[in-house]
Amino acid sequence: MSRVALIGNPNTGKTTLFNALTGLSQRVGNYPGVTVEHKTGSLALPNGVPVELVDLPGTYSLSAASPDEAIAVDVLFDDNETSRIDGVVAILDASNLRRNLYLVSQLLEAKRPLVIALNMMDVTVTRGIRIDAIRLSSRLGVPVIPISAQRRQGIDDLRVALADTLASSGRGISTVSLPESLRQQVSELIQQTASEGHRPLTAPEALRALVDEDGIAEQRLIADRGPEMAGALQHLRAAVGVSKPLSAVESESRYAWIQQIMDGCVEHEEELRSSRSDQVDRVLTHRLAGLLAFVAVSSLVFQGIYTWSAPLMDIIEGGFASLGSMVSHLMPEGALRSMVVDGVISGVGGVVIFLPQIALLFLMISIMEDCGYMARAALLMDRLLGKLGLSGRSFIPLLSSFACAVPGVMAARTIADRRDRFVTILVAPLMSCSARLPVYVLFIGAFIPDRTVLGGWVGLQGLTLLAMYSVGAVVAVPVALFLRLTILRGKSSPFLLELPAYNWPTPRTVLLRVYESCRAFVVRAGSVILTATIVMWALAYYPRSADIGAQYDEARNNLPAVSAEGRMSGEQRDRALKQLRRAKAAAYLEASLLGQAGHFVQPVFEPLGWDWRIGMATLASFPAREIVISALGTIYSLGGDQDETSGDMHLGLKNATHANGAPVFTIPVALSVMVFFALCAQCMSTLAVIQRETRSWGWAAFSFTYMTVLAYAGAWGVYRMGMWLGW
Amino acid sequence: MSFLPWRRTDEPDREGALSEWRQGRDAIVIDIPWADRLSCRLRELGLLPGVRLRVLRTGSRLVIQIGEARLALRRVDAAAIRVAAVRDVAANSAGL
Repeated sequence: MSRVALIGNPNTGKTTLFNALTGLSQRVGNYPGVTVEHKTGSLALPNGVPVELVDLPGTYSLSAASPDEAIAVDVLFDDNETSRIDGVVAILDASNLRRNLYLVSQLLEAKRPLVIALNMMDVTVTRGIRIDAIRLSSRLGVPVIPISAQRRQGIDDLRVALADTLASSGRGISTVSLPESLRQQVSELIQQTASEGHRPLTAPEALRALVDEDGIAEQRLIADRGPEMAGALQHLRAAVGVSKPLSAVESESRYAWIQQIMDGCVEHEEELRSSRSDQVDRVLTHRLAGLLAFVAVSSLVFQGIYTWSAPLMDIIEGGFASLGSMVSHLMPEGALRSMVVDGVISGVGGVVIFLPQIALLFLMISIMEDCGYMARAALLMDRLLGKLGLSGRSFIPLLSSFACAVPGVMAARTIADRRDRFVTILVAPLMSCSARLPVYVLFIGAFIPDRTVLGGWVGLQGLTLLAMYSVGAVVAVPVALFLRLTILRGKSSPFLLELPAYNWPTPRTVLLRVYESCRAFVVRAGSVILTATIVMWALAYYPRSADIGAQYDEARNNLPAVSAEGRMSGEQRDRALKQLRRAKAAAYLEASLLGQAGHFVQPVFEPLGWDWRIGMATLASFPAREIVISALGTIYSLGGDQDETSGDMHLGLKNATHANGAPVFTIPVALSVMVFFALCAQCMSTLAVIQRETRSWGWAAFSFTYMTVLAYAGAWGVYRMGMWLGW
Repeated sequence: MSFLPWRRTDEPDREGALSEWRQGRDAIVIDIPWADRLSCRLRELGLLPGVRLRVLRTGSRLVIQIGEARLALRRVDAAAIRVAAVRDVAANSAGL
């Protein structure tokens, strides 16, 4: 199988092309050697050769500033026999060809078989641009295929060209003429570093180390060959003998080359053209109107998630409830039935119910990202984030974390500054991810009254949801400031962001992302959560003491029979029996391993107003927050609080009582549980991705510790305040 | 870039820092003096001496147009970039 990399500037339609080429075959894997997650997909070429297409992060040039760009460079120059790239597809935005050719000028020097996909040829016509692709191709010495990724035009031509290029391994012609003095120092550097035991530097690598002061290439060289390299590089830089920065020399040479390439094969207006996006931006990036629009969009998203998903959730809930009662009738009473009904169905079902909301959340975030709004929001947020010592670059990772912290933490790779990136990674899990949503929705639905406030315009339930979503973000402010002033101190990094033209979101791109997220959620529910639920069920079910059973059997036998004298009517007897059944279930639960452990740890949770059952459910949800739902479902179902046939968890929670008969959940307790889950770091996937991205378990442990402390303090605070206010 | 035919010494406001440029006006880049990461990236994006740009948003965060690209950057970072007016291009002709 051949390996081909897809590379291009950000916002050139790379993802759309990747989806068009690979469809549903894509999966997430690791870049060989760099153990960083990335997407690959398979595609079949017309000649039958199977190809694995690797989607590289968007990059403007090969002088990597951020870890993301470093990945692109690493994959491109990987010389390992097994993971070597056999070819490169570069996607260029035809409407901004000059800048896109910069990357091409460097790719040609990488000497890998190359095919160019000239995207958005359909819009060039309206922008007064004419490109002679054939001439361009002959000048560059590589195939140039006009395509429209969005309309899926030219994709087959691209496949044919890729097949030909891979077969002939044509490399193109690099004719950029860097000044002689610079080239001399590049070869000088290659000679100086040529020693035994080291692979010789390639010319592009040496150029990067020389030109990018304090860049990744230089850092690597120093790490590899020793600190004396720093001085050697300084010496070589001075030896070039120009007054300008070397990057200016390089960029000017490349743009001069681009001008030569474009002369006579690209026609475009010299005037700067205004676009419709500029007019939209006059509102959406306006310092006042833009902020208002941002608040409006966010509110709409959160209210929408809560209201629009309701009908679908009812259907899923009803489905699981009837499944539960059906299985109850089909299976004989005993441990197995209990495991299936109380464990699997009420546990996993309780989590799967939230699929519609997760789908909606990802749908909205994908749409905002795909249509180009996200960059505007980042621009507006740069001012705020700048005050925290971060930049607008952190906005997209942080916002993505509202869907899930795992892609959020990974998105921080686009941040070049190490301290900025680490602060972003550390506060990202505070953003309220979709796994917290089930917790909020369950507790809000059960305990927050469904009425309107503020003159009937805002629902109290929706408002509470918004408040829960804000808690993490608000707390993140002092946390980020504190980190920036202590362990991650340093000057703030610059901010530079491209605002892509607005466009209608591509349904395929958006839906694929929603589909992937939903699939990941269901897989998680079927694996981690199912396992945790079964363990939880077993701990809450065993040991099954015969004494308790005998005790309640006796009590039942002692109930007076329904008699004609009316000492006990049938109705009274039913009620008494039901009460006995519940008492028996509760006694079993108290005596179970979970019950015993729960009583042992109860003092820890007492200040938060929690009973041992909530405490245990929280401990059980260490691997993933959603487990708390299934754990509570199992506990209350086993404890007899939840009506087995209806499967309604709201009722189960509302009916839960302390030994003295007082309800377990009051509004302060419900709020306390929600705040705890808003701030805690109960998610193994997140901790694992923090470890991977920071390359240290220390940071993962730090995240877990600080968030747990915050969660406990927050839950305690809101509980005390609620009690004091007499809610 | 010492030779700029449209530069007139009697009108000092025709040359200045990008951070002070007015909204909707076009300018020609004269110089980005630094070798820091931001300056390097700006050069790679085509912000080189002689290139024409337009300021689309002013304030603490600027938005500039180069070619078909719109770039957002901080006013403080833009202060180091020297630009000059384009002859005959006073206001944005696109009807601001």
